[in-house]
Formats: sequence, C-alpha cells, structure tokens
Amino acid sequence: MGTLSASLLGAANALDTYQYALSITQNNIGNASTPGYAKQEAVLQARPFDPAEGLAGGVSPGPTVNSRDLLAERGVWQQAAAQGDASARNAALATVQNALPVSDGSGIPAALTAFFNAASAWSASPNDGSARQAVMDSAGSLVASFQTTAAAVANASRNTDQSIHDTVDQINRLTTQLANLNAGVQNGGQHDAGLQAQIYSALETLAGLVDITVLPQQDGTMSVSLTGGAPLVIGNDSYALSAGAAAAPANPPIDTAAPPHTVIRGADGSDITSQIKSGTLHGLLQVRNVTIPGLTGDASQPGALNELAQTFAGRVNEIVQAGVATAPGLFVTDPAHPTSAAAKLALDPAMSASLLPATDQNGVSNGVPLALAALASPQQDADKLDSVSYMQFYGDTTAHVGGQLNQAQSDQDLSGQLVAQARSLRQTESGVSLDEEAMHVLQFQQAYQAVAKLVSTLDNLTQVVINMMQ
Amino acid sequence: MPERTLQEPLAAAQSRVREARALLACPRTCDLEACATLLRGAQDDLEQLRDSLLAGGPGGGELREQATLLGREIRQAGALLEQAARFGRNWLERLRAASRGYTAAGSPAPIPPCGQISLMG
Repeated sequence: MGTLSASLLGAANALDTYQYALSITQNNIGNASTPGYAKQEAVLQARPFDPAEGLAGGVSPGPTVNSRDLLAERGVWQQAAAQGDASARNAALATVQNALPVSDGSGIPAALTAFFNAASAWSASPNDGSARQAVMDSAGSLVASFQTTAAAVANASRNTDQSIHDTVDQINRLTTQLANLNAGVQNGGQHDAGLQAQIYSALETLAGLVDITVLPQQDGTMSVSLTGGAPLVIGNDSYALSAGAAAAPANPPIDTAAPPHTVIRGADGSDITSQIKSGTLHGLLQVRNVTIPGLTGDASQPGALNELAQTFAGRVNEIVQAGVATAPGLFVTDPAHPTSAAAKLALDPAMSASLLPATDQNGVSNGVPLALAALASPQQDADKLDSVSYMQFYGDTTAHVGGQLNQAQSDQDLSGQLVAQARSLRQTESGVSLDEEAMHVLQFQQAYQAVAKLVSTLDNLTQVVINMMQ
Repeated sequence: MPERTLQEPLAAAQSRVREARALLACPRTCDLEACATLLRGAQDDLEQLRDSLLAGGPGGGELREQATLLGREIRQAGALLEQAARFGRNWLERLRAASRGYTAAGSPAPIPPCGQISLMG
C-alpha cells in the first residue's frame, strides 16, 4: 500500500514537473518575437529512488537555464554600433553634400564660370560700359553664391548639432531605463525572463547609439560604460551625458569668432568626446567636428570654402589694383575673421563699373580683363590655390565630401549585413550542446581557412580585371 | 571583343558571389562548403573574363563599373566571413576554457588531441 502511495505521489510530482516544463515552453513560444528575449530551458532533476525507504524516485523541477550568451550579444552590439555610425554619417553627409552644388548650372561653379565669361567678353571691348557692368553683376552673383553656400553648410551644421542633442537625450533616456530595470533585478527579478528581455533590448538600442561595454554583476544587474571608460549605468544609478560647445582651445585660435566644435560631457562635466568611438553619436560628431570644419573652418583652420573665397577675392583685387593703384578692390573680405570669409564676402561699395580699370600696369589696354579671364585656366602659381585652379579646388572640395558620403553608404550597406549575420549567430547560439559545438567550431575553422583563401584570390583577380579595363 | 561576351562571365561571377554572401548571412559549417564551391565558380568566371580582356583589349566604362561593384561585393563577403570566423574563434576559446581551464598565463588551456572520432546522428 505504501508502495502504491509512493508511486501515486511520484506520478503527481512528475505531472507537476512536466507542467512546469510546459509552462516554460509556452513562455518561449509566447515571447518568440519579444525584443531581447532569450530562450529558457527547463532542467529536470532525478529524485532519489529507494522503495525500502519509501522514496519513489521520479523527477522534480530544477533551475531554469537561460540560453542567453554574452559573447553573441556583444557581437550584435559591436555591429549595431558600426551600423549606427555609418547610418548617421550617411544622413548627415547627404545634407552637407546638398549644400555644395557641383554642376556648372548652379552655385559657386556656375557663378565662377559666369564671372570668367564676363571678364573674357570685357577683354574684347575694354571700353564698353555694359561689359564692365556685366563683370560687376557677375561678381555680385559670385558673392551671393559664396554666401548662400556658406549659409547652407552652416544650416547643415546646426541640423547635425540638433541630431547630436537628440541622440544624447535618447541615450540618457535609455540609461535611466536601464538603471530602473537594474533596480527591478535587485528587488528579486534576477530570474525574471521578461525583465531580462527588457534589459537586453535596451542595451541593443543603446549600443546602436554609442559604443558600450557591459559588465554583468554578481547581483544580476548590468554595469554599462562607454568603451572609453566613462560610466553610464552602475546599479540603479544612471550618469547623464550632455552635448555642448567645446571650451576655448589652449592654443590661440586663428579666428576668435571661429565656430567651436561640439563636445560630449560626462556626468562630472569632463569632456569625454574622445571616448566615443562608434555608434550614431560618433558618426554625427565626425561630420560635425571634422567634415564641416574642413569646409567652414574652426579654431585651427579657415576651411576650404573660406580659403577659396579669401584667396580668390584677394587675387582679383590684386589684378584690379595693379591697373590703377588707387582703385578700390572688387571684393571686400575681413582678414581678422578667416572662418567667415565666404559668409561675409561682399562687393567693395567704393567700386563701380565706371571705376573698374581695364588697363594694366604695363599699359595693355585690356590687361586687367585678360588677367581676370585667365583665372579660369591659370598658368602661373599666383592664380592657383593649392596648385590647382579655383574651379578645380572647389571641385576637389566637393569630391572629398562626396567620397566620404560614398564610403558611409558602403559602410552602411556592409554593417547592415554584419548586424544581420551577428543576430543570426546569436539566434543559433541558444540551447547549444558544448560537445556538438566543439566539433562544429573545429570544422568551421578548417572550412573558413579554405574560403578565406578563395575570397582573397577573387579580390586580387577582380582588381586585375578592373585595372585591365582602364 | 563584344561587350556582351565580356559581360556574361562578369554577371555570372556576380551572381555566384551574391549567392555566397546570402549563405554567409546565416553561416553554418555545411554552408561554408557550398560557399567555397560558389566562390571557386566565380574564380573560374573571372579568369575567363581576364583571358578575354587579354585577347580583346579593355572593356567599356559600364563593364568597369560592374567589375568595381563586384569587387565591393567580394569584400563584403570577406567581411562577413571574417566576422563569422571571429565568432567561431571566440567560441573555441570559450570551449577550451570550459573543458580544460586556463594556463598559468591566463589564456585558455589547449585541448590535447586524443584521436577520437565524433559521429553525428
């Protein structure tokens, strides 16, 4: 009778145990598409079996095993950061590129061409008042083009700044959320699969915005810091970042009114910009602090657009004033503020069509217009900027931005594939057998080496083919 | 050499590399072997193209653009392969640490070859 009772009790335990296993399976199925959720597995433990002692054996529920793997998660985070970086650069650079017209029909290239054509027409009839006026008008259009382009780049800079602030706000919201979730873990939610799913989902979103290091703690909470070391979340405390203008540089700036870089500060107020090496925030900072200053300047450089405006205006004034030393220049620039040369380029108010001299210092009656027209295809170094014509310099500047945009698009394409692959690897990671995996990995290593050689051969071969097509 | 003749091997190579790249999106050991077969096919196609170019002179700009695109796709396949391999290497390190512990220097201990054959059902 005792044996029968023990058997019935064992059977009841087994039913309870399978009910427990079933509930875990149901939980897995129900959360199959929950972001951040990792498969849970039921572990069944054998109960002691000794009929003489009344121990009926059977099974009882053991601990629930979480199939989440930090190695696979880190792979996804790393690629999510690279994807965020490339996407942000792509979007921000597209705005900058739109600010720089490259066709002959618009913007600075069109205005330069019109100016050179007007000078050329003037050289054919140096005493023609309408030809002189056409030069003045085209110079006015060129001034407007420089101002419009500088304003468009400044607008792109403001938009990028706004995106940086939005990204920092998003980071702060996520770190606050993670600190709250950590508090939930500390309050007994360490094995709560739903809580864990929320934590990992927030971490993946955060990793796309900025490169992070995550350290699981003994109490089940997650400590999060920037890869460079600045803390973001420790226990149930979050450390807010902020974005703002950089402090005045240690070295004297080339222009006291130079636009400052945008920097990120940690919770203690220190500048931690250099700690940000990937993610959306890094991509935006790259465009804001490297690409845009390359065009419109910062404390250490005037920027290509300003350099072009300043040098071109200076050279045109030299040519005009070489004709009549007392004549005003055609353009006015402010040498004290080289970083606003394009934005503040203007026609000299003292100059008019009637004052524009045609005769040069050698007495050639159309020497000035000829010299101005020659700037289109310069022969002497004085008429060039960085050893190329003004038009070519502008073309190289826009091509540089275009090259960066092209690279960002290519990086975004690749990182999208790498994120998808990392997620796929994470997915296959769940519920693995170590023995099986050991064998797979050894096989994988051998297969990898073979395929890697093939890829290398193909890459070389394609390059040979491309070179043959030149 | 007509451009169409040159385009065929290039398009074939591109198609194979794309297929290999799709396999690498969810890499498994058995897929890698299929991947190797595809890439070998792409190599044959490119060698055929190279020989045609040697015989018939340079192709047109469109062909060059297509070849440049292929070059990019091959590099993407390489990056996918590299990431998958890195993942595999990290896994192996973990398995070594889990089964043999660590060396005095702190790196995962090597697994001595034991001459066993594993069979999978």
